[in-house]
Amino acid sequence: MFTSANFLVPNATVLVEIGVFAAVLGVVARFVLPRLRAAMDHRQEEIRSAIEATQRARQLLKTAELDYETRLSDARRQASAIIESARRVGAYLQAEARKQAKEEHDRIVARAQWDIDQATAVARDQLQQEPEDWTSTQSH
Amino acid sequence: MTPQIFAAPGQIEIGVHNTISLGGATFNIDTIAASLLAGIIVVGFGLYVRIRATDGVPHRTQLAWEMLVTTTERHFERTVGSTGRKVVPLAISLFAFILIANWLELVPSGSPKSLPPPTGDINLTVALAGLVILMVHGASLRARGLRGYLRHYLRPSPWLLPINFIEEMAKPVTLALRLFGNVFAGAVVAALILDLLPPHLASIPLLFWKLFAMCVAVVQAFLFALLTILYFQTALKPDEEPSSEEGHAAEHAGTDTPVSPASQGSVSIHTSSVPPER
Repeated sequence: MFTSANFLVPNATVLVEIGVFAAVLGVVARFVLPRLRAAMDHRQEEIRSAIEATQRARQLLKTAELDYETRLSDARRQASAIIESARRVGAYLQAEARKQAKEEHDRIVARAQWDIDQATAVARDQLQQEPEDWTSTQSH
Repeated sequence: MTPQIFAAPGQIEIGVHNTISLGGATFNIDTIAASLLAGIIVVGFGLYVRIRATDGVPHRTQLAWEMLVTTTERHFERTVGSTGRKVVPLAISLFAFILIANWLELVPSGSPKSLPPPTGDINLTVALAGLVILMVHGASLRARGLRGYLRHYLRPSPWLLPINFIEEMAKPVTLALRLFGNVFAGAVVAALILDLLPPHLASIPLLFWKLFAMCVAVVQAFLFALLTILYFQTALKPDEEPSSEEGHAAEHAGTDTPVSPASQGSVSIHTSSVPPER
């Protein structure tokens, strides 16, 4: 069955095989792996710097968000203060205007009353001074 | 003539290769051609990735290579430290080369096979295992020095020298035979299925077997690379407890610098030669 009885005994092929593998090893070690290593290192460096940039950006974002929140709450506080003061000013102006209007009204009413009183007095005087005239006119 | 239940098993030719002889040496040209093809495929994919590699979104081939590199490097760095980085190309090349070589079994190349899986020939697996083990011992020698290297055969006790020696000898043999045995057995089973069943029935079990063999190919390639990594780990790992000499040297050095357990061996040698500054 096993036509070759000594297939477990190596022959001169061993030397050729050593050469073949040494050549493969040489090419892989000299040409392939350094290039691969460079590519891998470069990529690793890129990933590292990208992660660092992301972390920096995240930190920046957090700071910006904090700043935004602070500014927003400041603005809200300022806005409510402005509204409050505006309301106060408005109320004051309204009260003032109302007071002025009331004074004006009173003044006008008083003036009108005075005018009426004057006119009434004048009319009454005239009536008292000229009753005869009035009666003579009636007889005619 | 006795009636035969199965087809003639004599047709199955196992371990037979197309050979040529050059100066008394025999070369299996089919194995050489197949391993060259596997090598060309691996190198082709590698160079394709090199040309098309991008720093941006990687394409599938690049992603596959990168996954291989990342997994291997992570494994090494977790266990051996940065010194293990030098071994990464070897582990990756082994995995890729063995995987492609194993998968050549899936290519139907007729009978006699003109394109056998080269890992089904002991020559390739012995070559790979031998190369790996030589490199492991070389790395161990460089990392520990000759004395440290020889001394590790005597750890944890000198009585264990034969066991340690056998262990070191067994490593390349098991590494080579495991891969060879698995791929070779795959080819034998495929041949048996083809031989024992009539052609119109053989294709269905053969299909399932080839799918199974595909998974086995991945596992075996992974295992070879993993064992290589493990052997290098053992070779590069500093000894867990420093010997009494080194321990004393480290104690007497009197420096305030803490000595990490990983570098204890080498540091203690340096500090022992430098006088304390106080």
